[in-house]
Amino acid sequence: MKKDNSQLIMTLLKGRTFIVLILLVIFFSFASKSFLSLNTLTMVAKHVALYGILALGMTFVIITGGIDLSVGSVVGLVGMLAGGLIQEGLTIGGKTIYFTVPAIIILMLCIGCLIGLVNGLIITKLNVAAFITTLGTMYICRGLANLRSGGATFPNIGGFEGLGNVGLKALGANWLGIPAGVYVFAILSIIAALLLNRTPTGWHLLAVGGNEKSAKLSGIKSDQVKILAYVISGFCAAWIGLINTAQLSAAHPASGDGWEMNAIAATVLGGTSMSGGSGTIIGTIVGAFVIGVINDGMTMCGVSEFWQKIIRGAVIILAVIIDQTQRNLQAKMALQARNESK
Amino acid sequence: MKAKIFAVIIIIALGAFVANSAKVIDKGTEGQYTGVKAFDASESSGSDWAKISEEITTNAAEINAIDLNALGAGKAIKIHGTVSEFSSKAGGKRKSIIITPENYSGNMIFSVQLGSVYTGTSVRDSQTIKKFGDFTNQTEWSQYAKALNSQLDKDVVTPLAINDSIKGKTITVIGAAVSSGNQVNITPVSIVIE
Repeated sequence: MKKDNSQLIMTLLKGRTFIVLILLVIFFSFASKSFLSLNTLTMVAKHVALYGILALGMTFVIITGGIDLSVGSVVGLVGMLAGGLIQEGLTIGGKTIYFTVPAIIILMLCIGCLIGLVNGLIITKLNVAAFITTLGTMYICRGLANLRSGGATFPNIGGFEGLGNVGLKALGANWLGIPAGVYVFAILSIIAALLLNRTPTGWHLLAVGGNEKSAKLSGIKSDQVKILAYVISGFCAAWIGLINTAQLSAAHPASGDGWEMNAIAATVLGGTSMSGGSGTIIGTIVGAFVIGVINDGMTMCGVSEFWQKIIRGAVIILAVIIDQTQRNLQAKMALQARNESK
Repeated sequence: MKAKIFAVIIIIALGAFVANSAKVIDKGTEGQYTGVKAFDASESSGSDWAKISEEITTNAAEINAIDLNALGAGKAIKIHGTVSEFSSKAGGKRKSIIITPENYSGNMIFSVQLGSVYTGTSVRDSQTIKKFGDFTNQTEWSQYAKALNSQLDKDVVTPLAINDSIKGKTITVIGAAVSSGNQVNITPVSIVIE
């Protein structure tokens, strides 16, 4: 009987984020009459896609036992670079180069990957703590974003037909009534899930996060695996930089400020262990939905931004406590099962 | 090994795509492709100057009729008095005079800046001919304020060639004023020396 109870608690704990999500949706649909309207759900989906894509990258990093605080600043920097390339082009000598939007997207994704690569190299090759490294790149990227325009906004990212650089706004538009960001989120989620669950690279990521020494002894190149995690994180952040700029129809250097916290919150809520070694993409997706629903739901209910921050903080702490409880219970049940088998 | 070769091929293909999809034009010729004329602050301020000068002159309030501590970002005022001080700083680029107004019993000090470098945006902010919304962005709005200051320097201040000999003369100044502490700083749109 006691064992049955433990298993029930275990099942509930494993599905806790999804249960919380359902409870939140029920609560906000009663608290705000328009919460379940099509417009609101579209808006929530739009925001969830932003947090979600960042959280996908963050999941890979946290699974390896690291952290990436630079993603919010990468969002701002990529937005400014893309906005600048569209509005002013790239001037070298007496010539100005205007890239097409697909080329700009490729360049920006490469820049996101490059920042991730730099983070990864500093962390693995110079043995600098991930927290410190990404804190540094966070400031550097934010500074560069401001330097690009002297702190001003690029107000016109629509481009010009004559220069052949129109089209970025499509990333911020609705396709068949669904925000483009949601499609990107869905595609990246599928790729991330396949990478993590169905490829040796995914298993290596989990192994390195679980026990790096054992992973190394097993022949896994842990440095390469960790670098890859940061490159993926930078890649995801670059996507958000582009999508956010397209949604706003402008590039602002302060864009993405503090978004790394939403990404970390979504990842942790989704059950990814901060100490590394475990985590799932589906968990992160649900975590992103929880964060999105909490943020938009509270705003719709008229909760002030100050209280929203307090509540978000409390939710994160609670999620980690529950995660720890689940792990303790799991260990206890495993021990119990071993003793019984003896 | 296969993965590395594949990665190199992908990078080369993407690089080639990016390079081929770029449009290279001569710097400053964007207007030919976009149809958008680059913003020229001096052209804009030049065409507006007569109207702005007239508006500030018409709206100018006597110093005894207004609260000098609440001039905001810029208020049109008129002051008549004696020049008590002339100063020239930064190699003559920041000239100013202090006026002791007639029939004024308050403790404010009235300073009129005479360029050639002007600080502040009080002329722009005390007029209603052009609004922020008429410009594309903050940068153009800021350039417009500087262009107005340059315009008044050219049309109002420079022709008078004011120097130390102005001390003791009676003067009437109309301009845009802001206050800071017990000082009222005026950017002139009209100066009459008697």
